[in-house]
Amino acid sequence: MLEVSGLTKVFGGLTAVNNISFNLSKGDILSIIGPNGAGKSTCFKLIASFLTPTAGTVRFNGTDITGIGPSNVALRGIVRTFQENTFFQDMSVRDAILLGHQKDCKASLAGMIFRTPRSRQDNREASDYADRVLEMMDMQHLADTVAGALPHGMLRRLGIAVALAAKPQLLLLDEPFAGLNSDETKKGVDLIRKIRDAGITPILVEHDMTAVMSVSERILVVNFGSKIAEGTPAEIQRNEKVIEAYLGAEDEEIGL
Amino acid sequence: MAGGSSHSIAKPIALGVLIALGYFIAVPLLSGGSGYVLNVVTTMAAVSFISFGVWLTFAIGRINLAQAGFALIGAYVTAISVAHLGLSFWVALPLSGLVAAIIGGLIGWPVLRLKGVYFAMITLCITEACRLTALSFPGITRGAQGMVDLPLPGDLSLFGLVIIPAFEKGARLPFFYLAGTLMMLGLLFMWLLDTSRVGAVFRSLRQNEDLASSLGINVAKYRVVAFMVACFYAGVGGGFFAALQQNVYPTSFQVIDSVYFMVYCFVGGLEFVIGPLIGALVMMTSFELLHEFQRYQTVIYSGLMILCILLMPNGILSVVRRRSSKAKGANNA
Amino acid sequence: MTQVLLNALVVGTTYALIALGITIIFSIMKVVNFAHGQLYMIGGFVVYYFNVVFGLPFWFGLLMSFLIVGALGVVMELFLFRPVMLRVKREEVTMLLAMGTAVFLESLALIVFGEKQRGVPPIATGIFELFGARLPTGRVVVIFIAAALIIALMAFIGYTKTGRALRAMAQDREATALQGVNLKWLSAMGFGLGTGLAGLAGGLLVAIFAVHTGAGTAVSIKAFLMIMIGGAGVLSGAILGGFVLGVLESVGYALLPGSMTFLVIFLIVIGFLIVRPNGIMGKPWG
Ligand SMILES: Nc1ncnc2c1ncn2[C@@H]1O[C@H](COP(=O)(O)OP(=O)(O)OP(=O)(O)O)[C@@H](O)[C@H]1O
Ligand SMILES: [Mg+2]
Repeated sequence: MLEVSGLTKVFGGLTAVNNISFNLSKGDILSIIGPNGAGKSTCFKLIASFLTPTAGTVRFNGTDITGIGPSNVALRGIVRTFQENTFFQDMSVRDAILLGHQKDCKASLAGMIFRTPRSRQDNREASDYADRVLEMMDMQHLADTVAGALPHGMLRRLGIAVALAAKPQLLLLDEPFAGLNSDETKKGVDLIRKIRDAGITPILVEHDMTAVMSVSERILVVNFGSKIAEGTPAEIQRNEKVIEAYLGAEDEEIGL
Repeated sequence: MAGGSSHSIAKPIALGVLIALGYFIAVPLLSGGSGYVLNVVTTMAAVSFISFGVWLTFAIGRINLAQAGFALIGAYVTAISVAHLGLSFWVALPLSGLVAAIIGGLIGWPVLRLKGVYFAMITLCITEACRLTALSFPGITRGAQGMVDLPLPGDLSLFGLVIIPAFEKGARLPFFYLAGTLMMLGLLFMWLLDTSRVGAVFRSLRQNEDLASSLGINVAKYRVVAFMVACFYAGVGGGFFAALQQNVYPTSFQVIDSVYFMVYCFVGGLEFVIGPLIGALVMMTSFELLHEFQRYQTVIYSGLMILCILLMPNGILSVVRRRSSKAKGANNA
Repeated sequence: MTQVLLNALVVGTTYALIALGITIIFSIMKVVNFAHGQLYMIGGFVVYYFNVVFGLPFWFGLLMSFLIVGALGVVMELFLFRPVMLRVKREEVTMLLAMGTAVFLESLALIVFGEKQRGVPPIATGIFELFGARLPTGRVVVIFIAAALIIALMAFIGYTKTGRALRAMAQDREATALQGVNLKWLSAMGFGLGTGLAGLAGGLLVAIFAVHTGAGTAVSIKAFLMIMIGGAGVLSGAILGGFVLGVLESVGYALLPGSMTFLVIFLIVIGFLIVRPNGIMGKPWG
């Protein structure tokens, strides 16, 4: 469903992403790993059109979506989460999730303001869907809590919940387990499987190797902007180049 | 909140209509025919109408100092329409809003990409630019001399039926009713907007534009819509003042007015739709009360304004709300 | 044309002082000082009072304009901006506070100084000739004083301990505090330095143009134009912005009818910001 070819991004003199290509089919859990500053987040931003690539194309379900802008990418079914906790400070969890439905509303702007039957129908659908997302994320008890008051672990979860609310086909998760304890991470791994089983294809960028190795079906390794390896978790663990890239790193660190 | 409240709008609207009727009947009675009081109330209503627009741009996270500039545009559109083009005031007034909104859309599209102080400074420049435009084209605007002796609003009739009679010279009540109606309708629309999904989207823009756009929300479009609505309010309000004062000068609306519109929003409280109205009421009433201090009036007034910000940086309404929630807590305990 | 460029040099150097002042305040406090023009106006009146009313030398008045307006800035920082910034994070509030201060200072000045336009006697006599362009010697003196002040300021910020601490604070408040620097005084001083520069600029220009109590807003607007052109929060950008505006203005006044000049400048700046939202030297916004 996703074809990335020759993706390149140059910032000033620095090539953050260098000629990366890969394909992804529906339902595969793909992880992108690599040392800090390797260009993983930049790669996500290029796919989600938050940045325009210097070269290369991104095709989704057969159409070229390179550089069409973040909201248009989302309309086509690709939604990203953010590496840093990113949320609507003063909005309750439920309100934030309801916003995810905005792009699927059928009423016009004026219709929404003057509460036409069409817009009330939209609201009912949004409300039902929000309930489903809250249930799936196991966040019902937090529905009315204001985001600014949530602890870190719940904010990571909220980020995913809000992204899910936008009904993606492809979900780009940027370090979903960052700063979570092992218990929370384990729940997170289960959640990602659950998301995949719900028909949404996830791609992860993650540093937690245990989690990556257990959840991924395929792994792509980048270093200094370039793809250095791609394969199943078992293949990656044996790959010479990968071990070299994590130079000085003990074997445990790549999850052996 | 984002939209579930669709069925609950009937009650507040009914209440609003009652308050509006009370206002329309009580103020003229209480003023006891005093032209002064009616004038102040009329100005206050129209000024809070314009301030609603500033409030809306705050809602999307932009500090808008262009409001006076667009009010000036509206004032000139009304003046030129009734004086040169011979249009009826009742056509000119909405036309003023429309022209301001269109110009606002054209300027806003690129300018709204700026944020924070940059947006504040650029909109301040827009207000200045409007004043200078009025000065620079005396062929159309009569330059610094201004457009004076504008005709009073004529009657509004539909199919030969007179809906609004022509305004008489020196009569204050018609303007009072017009300003009051504008204010109520302006508030009603803002409230509908704020409690609708669109309002939720606007608030999301203030908090995080990137996150909103990652959800498929066309950030640029919503920003421009909000700004155009704000400019529409400014244009209509400016047109009203042109008719009220029967004149327009390049200095009729300037930077300091933009600042005051902003002050009203603040003093009332940015979280509340009715904030601009409360702010205008409090600030303009205190300004009038300081009248007897004559040449010290403005100093005391601006000192008061600074004090307001120092003591209640989140506005009067937030203090009121905190008090009442505290009282509730005490009752429950 | 030489004449026009010389004029540009005169206004450009003093404008650079104004822009430097507002930039220093912005970079350490993240506050746009909307009262900058009013402080400039007060600086002009201070020089007028010392020079004309009290009969003291011009340079003494200039010194006092720096000290008095600077002290005013310290007071503003300690009693207005600091308490508010401690409680609210929204930048709108500090901006509004600065606007309120502007209105307050202007109306106070109207009571204290009156409505009349005030000037000082020429600080030097004679005409200076350069490449066929003529410039009153007084203006040449102003250029040199302003240039000397800019150089002194840059040296202060670049090479003294306090200057380095100011720069460090502009970059990262917390880290600077951790190094044991007393932020409280430093930021009050930085604010005072910024407003003092506004006072100096006003005091200098009163030697060329007379000053009146309503002059503030126009100066503030010019200051904003300069930092938008140069890039907010960058000292080199402020100087550059000052000169660019000086040139635009002088060329405009030479070629266009009165009110058109700034209208055209506004349009140019708006257009420019659309292409370069951070100004010529500005860093991207966080
Ligand atoms: N907007 C930008 N401008 C300039 N350089 C950038 C920009 N964004 C990222 N970079 C640089 O590009 C490189 C790749 O950054 P990126 O954020 O993609 O790394 P990453 O793989 O996500 O790292 P991490 O694991 O730390 O999140 C880094 O060297 C970074 O400094
Ligand atoms: Mg990253």
